[in-house]
Amino acid sequence: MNQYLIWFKRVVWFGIVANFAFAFFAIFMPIRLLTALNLGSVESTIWLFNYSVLLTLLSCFYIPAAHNPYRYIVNSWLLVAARLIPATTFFVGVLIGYMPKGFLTLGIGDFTIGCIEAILLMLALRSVNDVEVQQVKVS
Amino acid sequence: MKVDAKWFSRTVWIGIAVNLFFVIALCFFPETLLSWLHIQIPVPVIWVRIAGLLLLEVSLLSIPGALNPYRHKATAWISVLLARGSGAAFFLCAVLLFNQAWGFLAIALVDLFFGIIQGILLFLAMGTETPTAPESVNNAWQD
Repeated sequence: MNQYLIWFKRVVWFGIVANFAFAFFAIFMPIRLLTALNLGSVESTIWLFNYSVLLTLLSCFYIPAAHNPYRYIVNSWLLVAARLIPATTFFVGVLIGYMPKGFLTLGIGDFTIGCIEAILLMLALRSVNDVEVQQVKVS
Repeated sequence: MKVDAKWFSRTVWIGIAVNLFFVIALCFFPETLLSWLHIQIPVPVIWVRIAGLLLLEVSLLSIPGALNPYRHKATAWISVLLARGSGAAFFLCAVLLFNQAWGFLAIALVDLFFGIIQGILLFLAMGTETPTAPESVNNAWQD
């Protein structure tokens, strides 16, 4: 297995753990999380909880790609998109003044992870030969 | 039988389409949707909109399982058990245990409906997969 693939898997797992951590704090310490990250205040936490559940669920979809990126190549590319789409949304939201500035932190995190994953995945696919891909897909 | 896998794919695609209705409503018309469901409009409404964004991503990540549940077995099971299951469980608990608005039950029932049907179809489809040559679902909409 080439080094780019190994690092891609590590970065995906790092992203999964980061998502789980955010969801954990959002559910069990929502006010502290919102304050610490400067995400504004909320009257009711139900939608923050819903966001956290969806984030956890999204992270579970990343796991097959983290385990075997070649077999789940579609998931691998989709998880890159799933990092860059919200990053873009957060950047635009803060830029137009619709979101509190704390969302910039989330955007930078998602953008960084997404870019690193995209680069590593492209390099991994470029450096692997067809035989190795078939061997890994059936494993 | 391949027919189970085809019907599973069809129901996942229908579920994705229903999700997209909620995505558009949550992202662009959250006040209208929440009023229609008799759910209090939160202040700020930003978390409703970005929940819609995450629902879009979950729907996109369900697509591989809809295209070929044999090839993307893990994704197919995650989309049924975790996606639909957790959605139904979360909103059912919110209403029944934490006194949230009854309007959330509509969302729970949609997830429950699709989760049960997709779960049965996926279970049946996995039971008919041949050990050496997994069947593929070329086109879910052709018989």
